[in-house]
Amino acid sequence: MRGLSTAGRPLRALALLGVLFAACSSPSMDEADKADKVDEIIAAHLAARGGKDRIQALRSIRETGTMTASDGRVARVVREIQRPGLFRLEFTYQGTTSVFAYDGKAGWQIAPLQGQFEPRAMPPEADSAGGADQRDIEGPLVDWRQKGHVVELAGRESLAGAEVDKLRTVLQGGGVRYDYVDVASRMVVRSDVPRVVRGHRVEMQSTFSDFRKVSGIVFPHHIEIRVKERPQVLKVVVERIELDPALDPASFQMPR
Amino acid sequence: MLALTASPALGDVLFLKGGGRVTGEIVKETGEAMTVDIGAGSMTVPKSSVVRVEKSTSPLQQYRARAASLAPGDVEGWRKLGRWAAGQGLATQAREAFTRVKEVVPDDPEANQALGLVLHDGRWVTEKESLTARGFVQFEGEWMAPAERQAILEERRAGEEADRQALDAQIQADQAARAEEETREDAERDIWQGPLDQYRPEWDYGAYGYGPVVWPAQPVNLPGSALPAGRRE
Repeated sequence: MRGLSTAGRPLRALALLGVLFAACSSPSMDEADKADKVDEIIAAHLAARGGKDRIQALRSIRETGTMTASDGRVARVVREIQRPGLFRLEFTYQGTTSVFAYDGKAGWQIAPLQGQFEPRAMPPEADSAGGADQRDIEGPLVDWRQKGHVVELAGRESLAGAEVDKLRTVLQGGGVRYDYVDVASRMVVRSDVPRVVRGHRVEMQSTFSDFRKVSGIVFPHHIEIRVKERPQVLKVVVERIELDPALDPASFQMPR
Repeated sequence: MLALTASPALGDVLFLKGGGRVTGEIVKETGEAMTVDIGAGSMTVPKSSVVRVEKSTSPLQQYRARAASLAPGDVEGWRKLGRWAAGQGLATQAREAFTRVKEVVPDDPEANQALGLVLHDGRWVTEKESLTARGFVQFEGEWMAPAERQAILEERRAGEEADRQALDAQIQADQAARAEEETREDAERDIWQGPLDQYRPEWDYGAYGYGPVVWPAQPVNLPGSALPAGRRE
């Protein structure tokens, strides 16, 4: 017994060490697995969109289409994004064209429909382009580590009858967004982004569909935007997408 | 089509700084401003905000020319024009065109939807009627569930209460700071009437005796005073 006992000690010790090792290492292995899974999901998504290299080669983009409110009102919209982080939205409704832009540091607007005929700085809380993720031409998931974001897999869910991987992104600035990647198509079919509207935190849900390829990159051409648990929906139909159009950098600057 | 050809359908485009624009027909001009018919009323724009004015093909003028050529019962013609007007952002004109469609075909889904109506229990009703019937409430222009409105109001009440408490705390802090200041001033007055060993250089007004004009009759032992307790009298 003694011999056995003595001989068993190293084995038991090894077993105990093994248990301890397993206990200690399990979470980190899980984390590593999850990180691998996140990388795998994002890589598959970018490949399905046309490839990371192609997306990263984009310098500018212009999207033209219509925006329809739930009461039937329609506006024409032109959205331009240019590296690095420049954003401009033109909104034409009933003979007036308003501009909402971001020059890389701050937002500004001119809104004749609201009686604003002179450009004015946009307060940060009203800045629809204020989120860095909105101005990132390639989207926050591309090279997220280098951008200082943290992406983790929040689980697999069912969304409108389809299986989706839910990615939770903590943006470099501290904001949190969720992207739902369709398991079959590998496209982001919904994004949930929190915004503060009149001091109240709401979750903007954007649902993407009608995916079509433009010069080798897949873009959604139908987007529905709603505030979570509210009934009204804003529908965006993208009629035309131009890749790398020549944009005047001055058009993003607020005129003085 | 003939009308469109006959009428050049040119309108006025007022270019504002930064790319803003007002398109329509200038109906009045003064030294300071221009009034433009934008198809849903008039808008007066200060001339100081206008960079330039150009004559250009105006969707509004095109609409008017095309509408003038349509017979009232031409459902497909009005439908086509309504779609085109909506695509140009001419909401008022799109409504007008789809109203013509609805007059002939009351249950036309496209016309009803374009007019902002929704099908509720088999009837075309306004969005407001539908949302109200579904239990939503309108709060500050947004439709939401009553629970969310309640949550917003409670958030605001909590915010106001927090602001009030912060203000009270600030008043109390100010009062405490003032009391402390008065205490310190009293302590300083102590020093001026104290013996020379209580003299501190940072309170030097030149020489002993150049202190405040009011001299306390008795030195006061003040809590928190910087003076060494043993030196007090």
